[in-house]
Amino acid sequence: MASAAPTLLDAKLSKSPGKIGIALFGLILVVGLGYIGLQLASDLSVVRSPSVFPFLLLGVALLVALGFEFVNGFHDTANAVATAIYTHSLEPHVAVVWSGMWNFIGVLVSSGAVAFAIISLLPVELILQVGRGAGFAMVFALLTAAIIWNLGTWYFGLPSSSSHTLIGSIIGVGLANQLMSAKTGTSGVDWLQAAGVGKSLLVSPIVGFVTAGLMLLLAKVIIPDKRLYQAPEGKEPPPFWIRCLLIFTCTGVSYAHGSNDGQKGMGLIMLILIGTVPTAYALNHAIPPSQVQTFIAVSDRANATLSSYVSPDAVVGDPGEEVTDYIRTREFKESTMLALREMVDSVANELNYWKAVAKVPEDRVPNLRNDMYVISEALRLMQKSNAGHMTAADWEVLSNYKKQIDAATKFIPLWVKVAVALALGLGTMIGWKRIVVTVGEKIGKDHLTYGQGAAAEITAMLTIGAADMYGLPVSTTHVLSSGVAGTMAANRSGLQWDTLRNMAMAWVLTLPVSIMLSGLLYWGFRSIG
Amino acid sequence: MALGLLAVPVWSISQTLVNGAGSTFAAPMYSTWLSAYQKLHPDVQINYQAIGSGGGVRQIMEGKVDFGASDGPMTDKQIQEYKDGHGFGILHFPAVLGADVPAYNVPGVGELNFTPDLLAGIYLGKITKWNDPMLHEANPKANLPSNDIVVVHRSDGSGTTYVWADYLSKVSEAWRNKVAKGFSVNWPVGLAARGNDGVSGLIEKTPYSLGYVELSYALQKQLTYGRVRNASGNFIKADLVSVAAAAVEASKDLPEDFRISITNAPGKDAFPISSFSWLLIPSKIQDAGKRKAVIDFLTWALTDGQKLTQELVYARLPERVVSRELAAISRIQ
Repeated sequence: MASAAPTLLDAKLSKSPGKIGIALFGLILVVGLGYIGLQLASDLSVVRSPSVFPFLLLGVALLVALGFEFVNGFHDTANAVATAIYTHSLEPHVAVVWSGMWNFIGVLVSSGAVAFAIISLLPVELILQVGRGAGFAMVFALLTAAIIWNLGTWYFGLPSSSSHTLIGSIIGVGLANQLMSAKTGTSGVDWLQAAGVGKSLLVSPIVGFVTAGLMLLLAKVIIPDKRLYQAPEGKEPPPFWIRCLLIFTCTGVSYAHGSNDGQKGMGLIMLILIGTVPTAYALNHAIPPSQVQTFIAVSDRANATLSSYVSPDAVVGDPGEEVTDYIRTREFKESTMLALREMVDSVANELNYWKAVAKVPEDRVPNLRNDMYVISEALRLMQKSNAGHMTAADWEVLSNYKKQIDAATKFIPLWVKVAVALALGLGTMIGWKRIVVTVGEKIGKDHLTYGQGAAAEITAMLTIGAADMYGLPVSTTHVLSSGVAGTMAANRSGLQWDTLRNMAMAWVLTLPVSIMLSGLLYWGFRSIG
Repeated sequence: MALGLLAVPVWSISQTLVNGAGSTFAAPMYSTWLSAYQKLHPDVQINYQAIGSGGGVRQIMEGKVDFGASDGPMTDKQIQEYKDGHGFGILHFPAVLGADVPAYNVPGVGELNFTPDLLAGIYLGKITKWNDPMLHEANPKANLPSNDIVVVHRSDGSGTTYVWADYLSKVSEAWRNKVAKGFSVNWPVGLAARGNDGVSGLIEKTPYSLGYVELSYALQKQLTYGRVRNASGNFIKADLVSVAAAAVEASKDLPEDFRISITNAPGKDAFPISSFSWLLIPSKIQDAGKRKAVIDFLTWALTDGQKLTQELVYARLPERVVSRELAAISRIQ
């Protein structure tokens, strides 16, 4: 389906992009790269390594991770700019640069919460040994599988969900990990996630199709302005207020995409950094020594709180293994509480001894980081399932403590955000065309009217918001594409079934294919290394 | 010391396989015993994993091993829980007799004397410097540096910890109230390491550190370790004689189930941080082959096996204890 025939878009693209836009972006690129280089060099100056191998590995892994964001960028742009372009609200070049910029800003201001939520879906024992072969095999398999499927669907101009692809890849790694280890002590697959994707496959198209369609029909009743429901004639932009609305939704979707999807790569980049150069990135060196004193005080309270729930007859072997087992199996035992208390005690004593995060010696850093990570994950899962039946006041103490350890382990240096923002922004600006053509020209038989564009785009923006707030399992890509289809149907314009069939196939196949790809890649990488 | 899988597999057609896990305190002894026993009984393979007493108790309670090994006794509630879960009881057999010693790495400083208050104070985080007046008082001639004491303790659930904490609970009210005894305690201070190996290693490479390890580890790693003032007021160094003395004195009133603490034992020559290490054996072993192997190994360890204790500097079990145990073996059905 690679478009050989000239499209409407080609005609629109005959105009040259704004020189100022290009110059501005070039400047941002140069400044950004310089900043990344300087920060990385200064962070790595504390690392003493006898060989260049870790640095080489770091370089390759970073390129792959940024490549993932890059491809993600040109895959998801269509969600934001397709309607703005086809309604002549924005010139294509302006639209993609605009969208790229808002993606960039979205990434920069993001908190990192999504990044670490993605990581927590991975098999816990692989995260804990990310510096070793299996951990790297996991990260490379994930990223490569996601890149392959995203590139493939992009090549054929198919708007498929990058989130589904990533979740599929995560499941694939988990499955392969489980199959490859004969012993039962490995975590398998979070099937809840797979079920979420399954639901999304059903929900998103319906939400998109019905909401956008209804919105268009409703608009026809409420807003009698005829111009709204006609295809643009020539290159005239839509009425002013509609143009504003379309530009606004394009901005909103771009920003939301940056702040959400941008983070998926960040979490993986952090895993790579922690695995290759733990001395520099396993613990947040930016935490001042004064903060360590606060940490210890908060720790003491958490320790006392947990202690009040520890049974005198509980007995543990290795507390780290005990709590990791809990995270893997979600079976909370009497001993889990004691093991967790032991870990909290030991982390506090360790930091109290070294006084500053940056002073923790190289050989104790990975353990300390893993302990903190395991404590945080355990607390998160315990709170979710109300394990141990603790009071609300006690949870307040523990949540406060969790915030403190997260500050030490779940951090994202600014340069990583800048790198991801650049990759995502660049991808947005470079690879957008194929999918935009599909959404704008190949879903319906008629040209997109202003009203259709607005209805589909507003639906997409609302669902992003709703998905964040209510945890709806929806895919923005699916919602927008179905939204365009819905407005076409509501307008009785007729649909291009060939395109829809291909899209539906890609949507259904995304999960199984990415599972298989990443599973096979993981198996392959493990067998080599 | 590699204390993973200790037995060398010898393949034969009808080999009986027995798995045990637990104590690192007694692991060097079990390692020596098992390889000697293997030579005598090629048809029996007994594996022992030194995962710490906490892990040993857990694994026997969950039925994952045929026997456990621990330097701290199971609690009444744990024993009851075991009975409820399995339908039969769990027996304690004292198998090894050893001691926790305060080992340290202070450049230029030799053997030191420790009072019970000193050890409790250091582990409570109250005494933080090597030149603390209390340390001076106990060691008037030592040239003590002003460095901070780096306290080292176990990270895993440990019988060695149990013995240490049990001792400190007897001699220090503050310890009893604030920390108390247990396999895993809420440490006020210190760096953690796994197993007796881990603690010995951390002390070895950390100047000005102090930790507690089983005597045989201190000797094997050539760590300096101090004398401890016993209940009679004498500073005693841990050795075959002083550890045996603690066991003899304290085990005059040996309880039926052998769960006895011999820390802070009476007797002028007794080393005060001595302890038995127990084998935890189910009172009912379904598999006849395993039952025979366990009974036979235990009998051998309590009799001929005792001759091998001295080279590893574990004390011999007192005669009185051995004869009571041999009589109790019939409880294993």
